Amino acid sequence: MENKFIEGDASGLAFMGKIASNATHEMNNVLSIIGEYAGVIEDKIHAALNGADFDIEKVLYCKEKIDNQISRGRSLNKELNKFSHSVDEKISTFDLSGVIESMILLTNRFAASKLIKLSFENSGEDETVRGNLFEIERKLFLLIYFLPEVFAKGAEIKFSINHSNDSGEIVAECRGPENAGKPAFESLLGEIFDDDSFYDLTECDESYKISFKLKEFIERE
Amino acid sequence: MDKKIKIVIVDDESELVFPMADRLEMRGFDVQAADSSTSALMLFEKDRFDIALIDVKMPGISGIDLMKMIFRLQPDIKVILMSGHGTEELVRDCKKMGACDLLIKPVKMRDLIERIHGIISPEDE
Repeated sequence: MENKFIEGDASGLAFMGKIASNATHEMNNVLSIIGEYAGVIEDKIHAALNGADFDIEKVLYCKEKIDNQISRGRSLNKELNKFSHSVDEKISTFDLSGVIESMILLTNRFAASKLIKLSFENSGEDETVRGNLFEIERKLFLLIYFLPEVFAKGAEIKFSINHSNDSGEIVAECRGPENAGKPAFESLLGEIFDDDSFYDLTECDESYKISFKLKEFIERE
Repeated sequence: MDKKIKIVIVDDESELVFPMADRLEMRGFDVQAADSSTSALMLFEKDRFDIALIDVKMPGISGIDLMKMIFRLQPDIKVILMSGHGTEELVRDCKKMGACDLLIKPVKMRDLIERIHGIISPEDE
């Protein structure tokens, strides 16, 4: 495990760098796709100018694909902007569901490259909490970033929020075809969840359930 | 009749490979597209290609690993890699491993066509 990444990242700069790099890579793909579909439209116009029938259906299809990518780019940009403001205040009031969804969007490409599939079971309940937003985001990221060390052949992580207590507890249910076993999991979690957090690990039906929350600063509004 | 240059494009962004394939076909190439390394390997089981255009960063089998695998299946194939971000070091490493070039995304069609004609000589065509 990249102990140095966690040890040397007390300020969270490396974490923010990883998020930014992931998002710029994703944005680059958005621009590339827009460029390709715009290119197809240009080709169709040239073909029509050279006497071919104007393929209006194809052009409209490409326009729709471009619109979809613009929406994708806008969402990414919005989440990245929100994320960049998460260090503005150490303690703030935020929607925990929104934070989990945002982190999934911002880390999805990285996770997919490691064969990790992320999802969030949103109960639809009000999840407004008060706490250290940046630390919550960092813990979520570290979990996603290091999980491939336990599930070398990929895994699914389903996030949810535990409603059985008053504090905002995040649950990550991890399931994969092969895993390095509970001791490897415990070692990983021991490094991610340091003195400022509580975590619990349970093994059930070939999956692992990790529940975690920050020690002091997460409370429901 | 001239034989068409056969190209396979491999990128996990399926929204990217299909319009790219369309545009190359409009320019007279015979193109097949795959949105994963595994799908690309299946194409190589049935067919031979002149050029493989491969994204470096893909889930599962990476573009570099795929390149090594297809060199074993078809040693004479020419490979052009694509990447969102590239350093001179990455370009050098890719070339050392046998790639003809590394193009930075978004790839300009004009640059791609130039590269293709640069690595496939008229005799090959």
